[in-house]
Order: sequence, then C-alpha cells, then structure tokens
Amino acid sequence: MKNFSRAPTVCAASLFFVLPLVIACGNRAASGNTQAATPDLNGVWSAPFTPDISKALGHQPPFTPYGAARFAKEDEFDDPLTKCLPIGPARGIQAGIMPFQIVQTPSVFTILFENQHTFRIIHTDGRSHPKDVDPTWFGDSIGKWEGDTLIVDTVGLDDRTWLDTAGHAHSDQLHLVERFQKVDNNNIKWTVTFEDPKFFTEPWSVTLPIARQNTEIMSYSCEENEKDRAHLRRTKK
Amino acid sequence: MKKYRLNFLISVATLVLISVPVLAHHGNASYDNDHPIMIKGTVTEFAWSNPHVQIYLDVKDDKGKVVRWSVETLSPGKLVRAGWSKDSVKVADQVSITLIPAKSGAPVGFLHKLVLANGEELGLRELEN
Repeated sequence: MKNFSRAPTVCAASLFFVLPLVIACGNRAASGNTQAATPDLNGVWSAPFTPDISKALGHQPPFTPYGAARFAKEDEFDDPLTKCLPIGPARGIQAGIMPFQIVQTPSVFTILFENQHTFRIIHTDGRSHPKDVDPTWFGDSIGKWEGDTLIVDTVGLDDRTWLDTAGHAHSDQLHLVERFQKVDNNNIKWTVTFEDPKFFTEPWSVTLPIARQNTEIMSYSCEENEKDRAHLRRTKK
Repeated sequence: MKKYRLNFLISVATLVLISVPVLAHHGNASYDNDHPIMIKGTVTEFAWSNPHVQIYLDVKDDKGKVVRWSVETLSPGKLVRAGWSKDSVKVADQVSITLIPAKSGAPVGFLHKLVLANGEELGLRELEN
C-alpha cells in the first residue's frame, strides 16, 4: 500500500526526466535522424579569387588534343561571364569574384551566389541523377554527407560556361565531384575534381580553402549599367 | 594612348606598382596592369550602379584641353565592403585617381585608388580569406 501510494510521484518524476528525451528522439526521427550529426555550414563564405585554375593545380590540366586546342583559342573577350551569362557551379566558388551564402536543410544544400544572384540546389535527400539530364548552367547536383564532409556530384552542365577567367572550357560531358569538408566553424576545405573525357585525358583536382565572411550577400546585376564590353579587346588571334 | 599618357601621366615614375586583380565580371587583359597612372580632375558623374560603379571626370591636359575620363570600379556591394557609399563622391569633387589605363588608348581605366580633396583615400579591398 505504501509502495502504491508513492507510485504517482515516481511516475511523475520518471516522466520529468524521460519525456524530454522522448521528445528529443522524436524530433530527430522527424528530421531524418541526421540533423544532430550533420555539420552546419550555413553562412556567407568565400574562396580565394582564382581566375586561372591552373595556378591552383600547379600546371595546366591534362588536356586532350582537342582540349589543348580549345584552350589555345579561347579569348577572355569571349568569356561567358563578360557577356553576363551565368558563372557555373565550380567557378562560382573559386572565381566567383563575390561571396556566396550556404543555406542548408536536411534535404537540400543551397549555394546562393552574390554573382548575378544565381544559385545552386544540391539535393541531399538520397535521390540519384535523372537518367537523361538536359544540360543547364548549374547542372544536376546530388550530395551525401560522409562524416564532416559533403560530397557533391554534378552532371548535366551547359558547355557554354568556363571553369575560370583564363579560358579553361569544358564540354557537356563535364562531371564534377566536390568535397566540402568542415575544418572548423570558420573554414571549409573544398576539393573539386574535374572529369571530362572530351577535354581532359584523366580527372584532375584542386583544393582551395573557403573562409567564413563577416558580410551579407549584396545586390548585383551584370546588365544594369554595363559599360565595359565596348573597350575590351581580343588578346588571342 | 601615348598622347593621353604624355598628357595625363603624373609622376608615374614615383608610383608604386599596385597588384590588384581586376575582380570584375571580365578579365583584365584589356588594361595595362603593369603601368598604373594617376589622373586629377573634376567629377562630372558618380554612377552608383552595377555591375561596376563608374566615375566620370574631366581632366585638363597641359594645353588646357578637357578630356572626359571614364573610370571603372567594382560593384556597389564590393565597394560598400571596402568602405565606400553612394555619397562617397559627388559631382564637382576634385579627385586624384590611380588607375590602370585601357590598352585601347581610350580615356578609360580601372580604379586602384581615389583620393578626395580632403585627403581621404578610397580603394578596393579584397574579401577576407
């Protein structure tokens, strides 16, 4: 009888301690049970401006004959960015000129570029690439977390973008694999691998540091009052 | 180009080469990045607009002839980060501008540094990396 009389108190005390755990577990389950383990990369970031990606590589990429011929021909005058076309996924990070913001949810990892206010959507919900991908300016991107690193796979890229300002072009067979490794709250180690059998004899990679910026994404429009193209000149024949 | 250089080049020999990458939406192949010059003149327009804030100024040569220069900078957002505002420069301001001139010979350049009449300096600042 004595024990029964204490039962409500014990139950209440148990609930006091257990209920928060149950709620916490429920919340984690509702968010795919990955929220707590997934690194948080939300914020505004920038990589060192790298207008010639071969400088980061240390030498020219392993060109196919076709790739070498294209690089010899490409002129900054024809840079798609000069024409105010979209910057493309990797160039937006390593030579985006301006910072970018990462907005992260359990199912998508978005990169908002200040440059022309373009964006990337990287699906992290476990989906695969579509079987037939129509080339687009930023391609089709899927990502998965492995510990502290988001691995992003991108295909279906429009061959009109360049990899940098120096004129490293690519085909629509370009395949990007990026690794966003969280070093600490203010630093990301970004490694990108370029694979394009039409332009390169083998995949090649560069690694750049990405640093958190104490700023916000600001207004930008390439065509608002463009005055530069008129005096740009060709540098290659 | 040579004419403008002769007319407007001011103490170029004393200028320290400033290695500022052109963080514009285009490359810098059209500018003479190795030979910055300084011009002095009167601002006729300060266009606080994308993709690049433009500064127009009248510069007198040694014969009194006025030449309208067009000076390209960066986007308003990038200039704000470097300490500028839409009111930093006003029409009729007397300014000195260090710039890299266009290889085409046109009175066009890309700004490295602007100095107002009161001595205040406005430049470009790269992002924190």
